[in-house]
Amino acid sequence: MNASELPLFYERLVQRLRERGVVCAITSGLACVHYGIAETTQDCDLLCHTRSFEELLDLLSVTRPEGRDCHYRGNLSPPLDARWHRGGWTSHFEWGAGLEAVTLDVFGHALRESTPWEDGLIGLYAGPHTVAEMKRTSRDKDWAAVTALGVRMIEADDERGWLHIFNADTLAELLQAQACPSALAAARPALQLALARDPRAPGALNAERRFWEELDRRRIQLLEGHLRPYVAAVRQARAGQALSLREDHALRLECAARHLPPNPLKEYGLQRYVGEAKAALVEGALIPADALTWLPDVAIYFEWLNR
Amino acid sequence: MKRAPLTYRRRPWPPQKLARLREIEHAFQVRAFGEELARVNFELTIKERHRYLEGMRELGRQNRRAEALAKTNLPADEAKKWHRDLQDARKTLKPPADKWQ
Repeated sequence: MNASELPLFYERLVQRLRERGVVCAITSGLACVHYGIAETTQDCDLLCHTRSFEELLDLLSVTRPEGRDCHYRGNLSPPLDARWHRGGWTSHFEWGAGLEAVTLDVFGHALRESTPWEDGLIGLYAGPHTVAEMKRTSRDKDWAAVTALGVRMIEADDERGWLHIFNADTLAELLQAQACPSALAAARPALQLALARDPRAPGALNAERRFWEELDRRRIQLLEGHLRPYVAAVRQARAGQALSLREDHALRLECAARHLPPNPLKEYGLQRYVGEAKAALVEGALIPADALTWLPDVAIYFEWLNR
Repeated sequence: MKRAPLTYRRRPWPPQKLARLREIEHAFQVRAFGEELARVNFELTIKERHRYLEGMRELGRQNRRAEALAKTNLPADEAKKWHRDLQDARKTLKPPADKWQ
């Protein structure tokens, strides 16, 4: 399949799922390209409601682009099951293998979603607020996309865009052109500083970004720690077998039940997780200790883990 | 369609304000992504944008192949063929016209 045909393939997949009553949407890089923020991504990240995973597995089993079967990607992927996705695990699939593989990453929840992702869909795509929240990662390239989405949201009269501006110059320009609602500023200290034209505003924006990066890094480390025994178990169980998607799924469920905690961040303690990230920023001299007061309360971004 | 709309509602801004917000957005994109990619984002349709990105990926693949080949001792005729392929790939990647100038 030509790479320029891929977006259509994924959109058709979402359409077919919607025809079956499944709530789902394309997010991340492809959504960014759709909204006018070019990224050289070929992977498709799909948000799918956790109650519809059976329908999604059914559809993946019968979708065979160019005669290739869908299968879980490597041994690393957790099973597509609501128990694990409610705790922040994601599942990874592919058609074919190697560089030519067509890949699909499935999320039951949008990572860092402050509101349910299902509430903000635009056509076949996740809304820009969800996409921007998902992109608060430890990858450098994602941050320009976050601000670009935020600016477009403000331009489209979506006030939540103010939460996604991480560039100090752009924030100053926007504040001159448009009033920022006080309720949003109250939720984001860096915004309050920028509104007061405080020279510390750029430092506060930087501190906030470093905080999100550290949170993402620690989340990945935590998940990876749990994945090691799971991957070894999947590798051993699959050895030498040519499994169908459903057979592989059943095998992964078994391995996950033994080795993967369903909700590792909650189990670790969300307050502890956030507190350690803050401490690491100060210890690593990434932000000064007094900058901790500039960081927003991030609890709302992890509330979905408690539902 | 150049960029998917983010809202189904009509914007409440007067034209001048909308123009200013777009100017801020464009200025940010130029700073963050560079002029060419900003043009890709503002001027191309979604389909054209995907085609452009595929061109960039192909160029990246060709360059990686060229780098790998530089470390090998290919016979002269083979090396020429690879070089021609690389040039052909570069020709297919055309940036959009700069309407901001």
